[in-house]
Amino acid sequence: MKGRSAFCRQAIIMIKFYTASKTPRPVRLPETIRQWAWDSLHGMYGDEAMKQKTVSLCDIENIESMSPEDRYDIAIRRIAEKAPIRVCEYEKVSGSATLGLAVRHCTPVYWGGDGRMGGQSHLTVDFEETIRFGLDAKQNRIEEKLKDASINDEERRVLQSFLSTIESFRIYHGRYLEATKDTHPDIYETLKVVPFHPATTFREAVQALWMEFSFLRLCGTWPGIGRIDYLLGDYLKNDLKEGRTTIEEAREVLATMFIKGCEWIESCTRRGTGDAQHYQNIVLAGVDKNGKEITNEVTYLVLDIVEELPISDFPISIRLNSKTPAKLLDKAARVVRHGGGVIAFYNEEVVIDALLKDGYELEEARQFANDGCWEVQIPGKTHFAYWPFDGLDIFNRTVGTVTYGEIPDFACIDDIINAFRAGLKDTIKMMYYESVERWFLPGSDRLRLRGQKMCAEINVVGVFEGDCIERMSSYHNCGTKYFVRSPHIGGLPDIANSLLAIQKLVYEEKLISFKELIAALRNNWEGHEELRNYARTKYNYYGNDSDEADNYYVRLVDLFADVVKEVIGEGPKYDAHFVPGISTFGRNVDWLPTRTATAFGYKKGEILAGNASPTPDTDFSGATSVIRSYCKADLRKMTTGAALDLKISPQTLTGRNGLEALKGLMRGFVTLGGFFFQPDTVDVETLLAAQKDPQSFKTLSVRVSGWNARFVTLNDEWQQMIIDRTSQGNL
Amino acid sequence: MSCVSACPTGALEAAAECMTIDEILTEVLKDKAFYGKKGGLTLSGGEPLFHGEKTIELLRRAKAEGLNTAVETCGYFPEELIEKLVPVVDTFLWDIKDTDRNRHKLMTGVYPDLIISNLKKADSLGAVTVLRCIAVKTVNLTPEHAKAVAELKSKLAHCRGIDVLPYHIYGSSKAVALGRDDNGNKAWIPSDAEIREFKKQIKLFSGK
Repeated sequence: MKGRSAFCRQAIIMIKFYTASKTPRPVRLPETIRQWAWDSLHGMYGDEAMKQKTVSLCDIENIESMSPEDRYDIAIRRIAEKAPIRVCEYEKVSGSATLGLAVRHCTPVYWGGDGRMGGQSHLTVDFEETIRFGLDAKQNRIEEKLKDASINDEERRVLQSFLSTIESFRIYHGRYLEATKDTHPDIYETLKVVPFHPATTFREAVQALWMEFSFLRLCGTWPGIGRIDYLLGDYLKNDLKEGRTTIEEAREVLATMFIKGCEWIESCTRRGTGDAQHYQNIVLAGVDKNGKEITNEVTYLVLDIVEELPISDFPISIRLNSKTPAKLLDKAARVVRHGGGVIAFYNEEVVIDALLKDGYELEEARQFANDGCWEVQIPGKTHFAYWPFDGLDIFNRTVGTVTYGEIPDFACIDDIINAFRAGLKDTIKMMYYESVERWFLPGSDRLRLRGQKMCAEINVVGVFEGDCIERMSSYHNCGTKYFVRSPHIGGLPDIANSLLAIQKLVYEEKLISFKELIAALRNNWEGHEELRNYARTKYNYYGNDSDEADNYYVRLVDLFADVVKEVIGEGPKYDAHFVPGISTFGRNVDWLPTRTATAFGYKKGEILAGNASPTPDTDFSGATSVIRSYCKADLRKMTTGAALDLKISPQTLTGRNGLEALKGLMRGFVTLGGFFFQPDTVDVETLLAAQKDPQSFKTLSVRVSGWNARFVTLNDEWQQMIIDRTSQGNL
Repeated sequence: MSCVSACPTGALEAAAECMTIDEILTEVLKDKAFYGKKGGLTLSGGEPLFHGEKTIELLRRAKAEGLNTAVETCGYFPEELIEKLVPVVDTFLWDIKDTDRNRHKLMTGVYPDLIISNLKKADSLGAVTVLRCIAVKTVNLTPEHAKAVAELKSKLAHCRGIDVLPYHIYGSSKAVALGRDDNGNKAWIPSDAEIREFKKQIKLFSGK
């Protein structure tokens, strides 16, 4: 590809991986494995995948006029037959996703037609059945179903398509058997058992998991992995007990999986920009379906690996509760301090309560993982999509900053909130219609609704979703037990701040009339610089543990949840979960062109709040205050999640005190009732950028020694000291 | 502070605030959920014991709330505070700036006698301490000082360890902000190797 330099292996005797921490990363794995990790992280395999992006279907007769369902089955078979095989020298489990278009989230085939087959993500498929029972059992189950004379043609077609998928998988598996026979006899022996028969050892269980995962990825579909310690823990425990393996061996096997998981990194794409994020989330710890904590040796091995290798391609979420083992908190803190944002945290007591409130059974709620990103779902049982929208835009339209017509007038803040509620309800109603009602309309073209016209039902997913076989229905055709659609509000903290500013400026201090204020905001505060500064600096906004602002935030969370309930109550009923959540991720940047100036002193074009985190540059009271503010709302009402990001400098996490501080944050997050918490460590580049552009980094906090300071408030020498410390250990 | 709150653009910043014991405790307890079993309240400098009985009252109330307490002190405070102080402090971070009497007088303005006798008395009452030794190049980075620190520790029944703190000039920024001369002395900053050597000596004299 033009402008793309090929991967170039560097001659390095002793590999040293980047860490944001003063404490070096531990070395536990053999140097050969570490070198291999370095190669993979620097794009060796990603570049290779880009050399062949697809396999061709052009030679197949009538491929153009075939039904999408038939074409998809043929495509999967062709991928299994023709995709390049890759077996790396040091690998302990086999299976690779070697075609370039899969990296772009498409089914990697070409048939000369117009249009591509998409892929599927935002789901975690079922790995448990493959590991514990084997695919032969699954095939038998389908064949038994097919013997039933009473099933209709459509059901028969779906079941046959599932069988075809398993057959394709068998071809893929067979090619790896062949490829490993002479070079990797240990893998060959493992592949003779899994994934078609039940796994009996840890190594086989990992191989079964990996083969399913890699096959799905090869087909352009990106599942999350889910609760890996739950899936593999018993196997390792037995192996250790019986003396079949050692912890060191087990760590190497798992590390293989992680290193192979970076096979889509290309040498010329920047890490951390999302190119290495393929929704392959791992969830660790928490209770099992009986309420017993599952934290086991596998939990710690996974953390061992990401502590040693800077692999962030498998984002890890740890399920915390009030009884989380102290050892696990400590281990998590040790990983977090190396930076990279590898670990985030759920407060599972709140998450499980939220699911119960939404009607899930307790045993199933306790098995929650996520969709591969962070939105909560039950793995292997869920058809999920979320519908993001800009709540602040609805608010701005309500108060009239967006339009050019007559400015509305409001007598008090409650009138504004009520008017906003009405606008919000219109949006949610529209979403309910689009995301739920249209889906269940008789004769609904569901594949078109999902933008999947060309690739039919993606049965490569359906065959690994628990209920699709029983229901004889594809993944996109209500085959899963749970159908979840989730409106996700963005800008909620900005709305709370706007309400506080309007209440203060207009109704309490009467510094300006409502209409004059809105006119000023339409004008991007022009001519009102003094008042703008006043509004921006005078009040304690959301994130400072100040009830004045936080109460608006709490009220908005409740209001949003109520509106969603109301809309369901008033609309037609379906076997669907329509539940709220709070997130923006990058969208708070995407929304800038349609957003106006705000009453809390921000001009058009300034970046506002991400997720449920405070508006940048408004939180001056430290991390614990941010968590306290965030936890004031009843987050159980946000069923699919409410995310809080917290920027922490790697320096905050230095030494024993740093570990204790981070553990303190986790503890408080759980005790106070948080939902999802993502500590964000900041690297040296960010600090350099902050030096150049201090205005944009005003709340970036760093730990100096026993205390924290805002980075831009430090003089040159201090800043340099922090930067020097940060770059220690850099490659 | 009225000018700070009146400034419409937030150009002025209060460097400190007068607070009652109740107000301090309210603030500290807001974070109780984050403390766990070991976390709590640490009083640092200036010199917290400058406030004498008030400081002890604050610590007593904090303990009553179930908080862990720590005090950073230069050790130079009236002896009669000790008996009331020790029961309400879980850990003392106790400065030993120098062990040479005359040099201590020269550099800090006082002899270290009271500091040492307070320390020993606190120890006899069961106070858990960590000795904090500032390392100043060309001043106290000597084997004699290292030896004396090690000996002092050996006489304390409840001392948990020695922290060696390299001299730095980060206070200069504050001096300059106050319109004073930059009073930092770069020649006093020890190198990493010198710090390692000093720590090694302390360890050696401690017989470990």
